[in-house]
Amino acid sequence: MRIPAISERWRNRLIAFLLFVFASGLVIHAQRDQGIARDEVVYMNYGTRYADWWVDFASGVDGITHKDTITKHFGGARPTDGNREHPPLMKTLFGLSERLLHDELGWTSQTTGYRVPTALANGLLVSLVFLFVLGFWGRTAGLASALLVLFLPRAFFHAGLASFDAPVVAFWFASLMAYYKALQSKWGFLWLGLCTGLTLATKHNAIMLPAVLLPHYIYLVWRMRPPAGNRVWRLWAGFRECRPQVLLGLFVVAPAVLIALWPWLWFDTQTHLKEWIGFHLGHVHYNFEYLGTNWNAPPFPWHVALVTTLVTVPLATLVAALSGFIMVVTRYRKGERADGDGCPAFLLFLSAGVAIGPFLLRSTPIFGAEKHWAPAIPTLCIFAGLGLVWMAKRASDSIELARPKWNRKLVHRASVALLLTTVIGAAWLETSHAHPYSLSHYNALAGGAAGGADLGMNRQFWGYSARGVVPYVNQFAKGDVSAPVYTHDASSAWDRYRREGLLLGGLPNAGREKAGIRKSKIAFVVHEKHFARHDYLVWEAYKKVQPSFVLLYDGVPIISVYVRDELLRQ
Amino acid sequence: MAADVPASNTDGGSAFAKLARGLVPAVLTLAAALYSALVVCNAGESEATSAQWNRLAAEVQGARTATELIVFAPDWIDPIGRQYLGDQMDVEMASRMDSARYSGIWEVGLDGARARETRGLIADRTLEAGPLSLRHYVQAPAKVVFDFTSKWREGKSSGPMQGRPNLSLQEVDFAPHRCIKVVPRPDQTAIMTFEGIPLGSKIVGYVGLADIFTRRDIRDPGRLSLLVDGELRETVRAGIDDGWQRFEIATSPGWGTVEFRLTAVGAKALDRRICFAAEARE
Repeated sequence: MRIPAISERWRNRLIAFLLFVFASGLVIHAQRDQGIARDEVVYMNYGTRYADWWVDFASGVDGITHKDTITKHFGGARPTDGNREHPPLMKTLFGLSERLLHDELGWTSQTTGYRVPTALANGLLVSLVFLFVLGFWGRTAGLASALLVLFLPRAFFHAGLASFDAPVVAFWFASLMAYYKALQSKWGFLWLGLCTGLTLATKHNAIMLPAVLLPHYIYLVWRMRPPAGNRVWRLWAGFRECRPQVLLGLFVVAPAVLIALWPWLWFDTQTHLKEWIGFHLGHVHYNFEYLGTNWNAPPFPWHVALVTTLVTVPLATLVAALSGFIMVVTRYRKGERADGDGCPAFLLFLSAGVAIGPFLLRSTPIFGAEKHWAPAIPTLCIFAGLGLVWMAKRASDSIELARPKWNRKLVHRASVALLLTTVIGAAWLETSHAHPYSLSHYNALAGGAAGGADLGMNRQFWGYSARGVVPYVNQFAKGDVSAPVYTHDASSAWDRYRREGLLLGGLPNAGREKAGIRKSKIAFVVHEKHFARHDYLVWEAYKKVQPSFVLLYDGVPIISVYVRDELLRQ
Repeated sequence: MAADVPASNTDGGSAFAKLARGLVPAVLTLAAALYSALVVCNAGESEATSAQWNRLAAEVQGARTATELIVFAPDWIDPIGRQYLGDQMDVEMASRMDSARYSGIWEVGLDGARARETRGLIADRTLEAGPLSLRHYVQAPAKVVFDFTSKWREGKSSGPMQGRPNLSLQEVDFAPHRCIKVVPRPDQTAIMTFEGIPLGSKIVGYVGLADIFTRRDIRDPGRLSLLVDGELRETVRAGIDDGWQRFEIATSPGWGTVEFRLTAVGAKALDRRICFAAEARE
């Protein structure tokens, strides 16, 4: 039987789909080993609440759109009531997903049910990166870029959490693609509005998207202006050439999408919007270790985003990105068009610059590190993909000059295969090794996790690594005898470990701070610089400094577990 | 549209040079990938094993005297060190003011790292166990004539302050220190006076601000002034980033009255937790 040939277009769509399935599936599979992050628990809880509201809304329950009912589900008087400091899209999807996959179908655990939407968003990002690069620079570069986006230790970790950091990158990038759609077609602005609206409904850093798109749009208008006529008329003509509906999509449709998805904005819209943005402009500065110093107040070092990126992205990806960057800049300086009519390289520069820019100001909070400027990372991976293709071509061209009799096509294919498999393979190896403690991972440039510790880089955050001490703590579950556990930064996740069947009974959460430690028979301390005081509180209460167990990642302590002597003797 | 990157190396030079130039970026990238993979594959290899730790712990157990200190380097291996040697350490040792009163120091270092406590000392005994080194140092211990910290109850407190002074284990500069904690009222001075105590040739002490969260939220400094027999001898400013600061003054052996004046500098200095420890030494 002859298999019918499929067109190039469909073949690429199939590749994009397979990338989506592969990336989503891999993350869904891998996240099962990841601990539950502190903030994730908050998003899960509110996700359930939001989802309930939407289900009632869809069912036409009486009074569901009443101001009081919406306030009860989505808001409240205080700035963090109803978790209204974060837009609702992903939380709502977490709740709906858990309801469907866990409650209704029973296909997943509860935690996985909540996390699936993030994994799917990350899968979407991977396939969109492929399609974007494919359109401008070809399939090989597209595949390389997409896989490099997938195999980033830190991003892979965030893709497995019920939080907003991976989804906002996906929707941010989708907005860049939709922007081109808006430039190309009459109704494309609706796509732009939809994608930007979804980004806004995901995380507050989306408000910076116009700073990416507008300068690029202005540049295109300037480029499209006709050669003759007065300056104003020429610019106006250029503007008309560039589908002015783009602005409609960005400034009318996108906010409408945000409002439609966030019932909290259905009344007192201006006030609620102001409060949302105001919360982040005046956000408390959490403690964060960087280069040996605990930072909790501005001015922060201007280089945090750059250095953190340098020591967390796989080294070969960085080198390839540098090559891609040099290639694009060199060709631009030579007057060659490196990136076609749409100037995608410029758009990618703007995207990375705007995502990272606030962190150069020295006043933007730095806690959260790479996840806060994550929308910059696809740019880096795309340049890495371009760099790999360029290097392979350069290498095969050189070999051809030196060995003209060799089969040119074969040499080129071998160069591409060698470079891509080695660099992507190294990125995969690093991502796989770092999992599930990726926030403690540092790349070869830093000297690995131990090098990161030597440099005094942040060890972790959100207390997610507590999952790693659960098997040790389980040893002390003795039937009906209760051994309360001081769970430090994992207190909100502790009960979820029990519900997931990971934690045995009789090991309840002892409570917070000194009272919790006093009550506890087992105590663990998550190692972050500013958490050192918790060790000392335990020493005083337990009258010893010896932990019974230390959870290590590549030899670096990430959690210490203390057990009272009487429990050890039992 | 597919990548259309022009061939380079159309200029002069030998075929080999052209080939080399064309291959350099690819080779560098491959080298980076391989190095990166190597680091990942060897990540667990340089980790010290339980057997290696236990070997050093047994060595210390057999040879250490009660007046000897145990330290680890670099700082971040401290939890692992305490896991294996913690049964030979107590809270007092871990929260010491400094290392001067110990007659010897046992230092466990990873990959040749040295602890700040052994700076300037020469090891008289060394044992290697994989990436770990155990070194023993002997030092002349400081002779303490009067320990203000452990005898804090002998001091009389006065002046506006929150609560009373107390001896507690505090986090100062992200390290544990057993110290006298005093919280003066904003822009006020609290005083601790030790009357008629024995003095040696010097008073050595340390001061710092306790608790990372109050250091974050209250940015105003504290200040310690040290008076001996009514004469101001030393003033130390304790800012939020100044850490555990050492001070030392010379004294005449005999008896005297020592006064520590702790000030929360500025009207906004609420809950300024000033911690200090001091000893009169021979």
